[in-house]
Amino acid sequence: MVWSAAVLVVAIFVWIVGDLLAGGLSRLSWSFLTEASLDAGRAGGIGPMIVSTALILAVCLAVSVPIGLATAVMLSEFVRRAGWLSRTVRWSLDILAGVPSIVFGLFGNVFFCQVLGLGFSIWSGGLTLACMVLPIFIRSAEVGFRSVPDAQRNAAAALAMSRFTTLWRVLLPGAMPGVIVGLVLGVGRAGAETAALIFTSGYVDRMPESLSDSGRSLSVHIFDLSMNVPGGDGNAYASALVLAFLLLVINLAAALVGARFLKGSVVNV
Amino acid sequence: MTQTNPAPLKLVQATPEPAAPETLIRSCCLSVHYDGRPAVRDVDLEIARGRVTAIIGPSGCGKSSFLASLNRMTDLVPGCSVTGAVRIGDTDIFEKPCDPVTLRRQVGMIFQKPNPFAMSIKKNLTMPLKEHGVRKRADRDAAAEAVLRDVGLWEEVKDRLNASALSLSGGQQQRLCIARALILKPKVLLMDEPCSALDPIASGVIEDLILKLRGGCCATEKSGSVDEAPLTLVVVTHNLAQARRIADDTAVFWVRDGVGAMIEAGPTEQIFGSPREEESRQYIRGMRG
Repeated sequence: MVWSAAVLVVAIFVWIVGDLLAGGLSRLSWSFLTEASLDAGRAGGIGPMIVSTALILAVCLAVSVPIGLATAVMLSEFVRRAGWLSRTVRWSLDILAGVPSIVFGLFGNVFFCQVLGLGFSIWSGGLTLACMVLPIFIRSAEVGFRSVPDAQRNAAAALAMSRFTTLWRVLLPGAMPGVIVGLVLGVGRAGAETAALIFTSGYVDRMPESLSDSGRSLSVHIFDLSMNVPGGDGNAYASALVLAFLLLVINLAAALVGARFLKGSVVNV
Repeated sequence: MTQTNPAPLKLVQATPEPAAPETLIRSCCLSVHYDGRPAVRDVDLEIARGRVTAIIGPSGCGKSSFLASLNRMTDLVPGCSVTGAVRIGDTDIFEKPCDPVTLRRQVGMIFQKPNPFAMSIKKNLTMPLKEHGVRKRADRDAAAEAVLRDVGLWEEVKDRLNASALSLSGGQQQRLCIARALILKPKVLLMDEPCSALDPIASGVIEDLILKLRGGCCATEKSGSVDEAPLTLVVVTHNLAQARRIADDTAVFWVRDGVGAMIEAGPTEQIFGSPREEESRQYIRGMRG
């Protein structure tokens, strides 16, 4: 029974990857990765989509990492765990983490595109994704900070170290594994997001000229090609393969950075 | 109250004892409460400069709470409040001009469980120095070597200064923590059962180190810096034999009416030879506690 479950999981994975490779590998080429799309995406490449995706992710991370770290530090270091503030924030985050992405999309459309007047733009898309990523990232980073033993905080205090140095030099390195995990989960969710982006960053498939331009992310491109463009399947496969590969690379990079931070700290504890 | 040292250990140097030891730390009616419940009440204790003072007593009698209040580590414990006064030198440590950071720079602390930072051996020592404004790398490295020599760790780790501090054994970690506290050149070093998480051999090494540090003689001679105030050590221990070996003075804590209190203090010889209080007498004989 247990074995069959494991086999099932692996089988699904192999099927998806195999399907992507079979459908998309033959179309991959350097020009596919760099050129603009033609004929609504049936021909040409995905260069603008890769750039848009990267920009949206960059906006998302630039906003969510500082805010997320600050909130995680507040929750784990500055407020009493059972206090009302901590409980309210945590409760809100848990609910936000479970909200369907289409709801974030509609919220982003109303708030960022209309109320703040950002329109369909990479800004709107990135900020909406940041709202989605924050709950996951904060909870994971908070667990990271909490996992640093109090003995380390006492050691730092007894050495008359300032709160800032304690955070930066002692707690952050110790919390790094949790922070990295949160980042990977968050980027994974953001990079694969479609519903929230259709309504915020839009689906103009030109190369964006600034962050205020609308930009079509890879995931939106895949969705559009497979649902709305007859004959777009081939390029949808190839785009999906690129997206899967990019997410894999981000995961590996995060793991490597994490390992570098951990070097010299995981030995007998 | 002249006295001979009760510990016939080889490392004790025949430094001339001052005729009357000068009081460095004076606590007045010091009480520590957790969530309003008193853990230790009304401690009046004088701790002499440049000597080793042991605090002994059974579990739960507030020894550690008292010790932690001396450098305001109690501030970090949620729900902990301290009343009364402590003067260290001319400073009232709970009064306004004194802030915990300045205080802890002068009054270091060693914990029961060794707590090196999860970074390299060298960085454990140089990071606090950097924090306290030693800008030149060469100065920091030299200071790190000096304190490692002081705690007898230099020969053991000189080839792997960049290895993780967590790769050291428990006793080595504790000596590294002592070195890390010493590198800030504190006036007082508080030690909260520094040997109780260590095996007998490692604790013997720490005991020797305490005696070597007493009076601050080693930090000054090795690093060649100008004459400094001698180091004062306050050691909490539940190991009576250890207190007898290392301490010049001893204070006995006891639980009275459900609350910790200091019942007697004096030169170690006198406390162990002719204790005034009945509880101390029985505790020291091993009949209670």
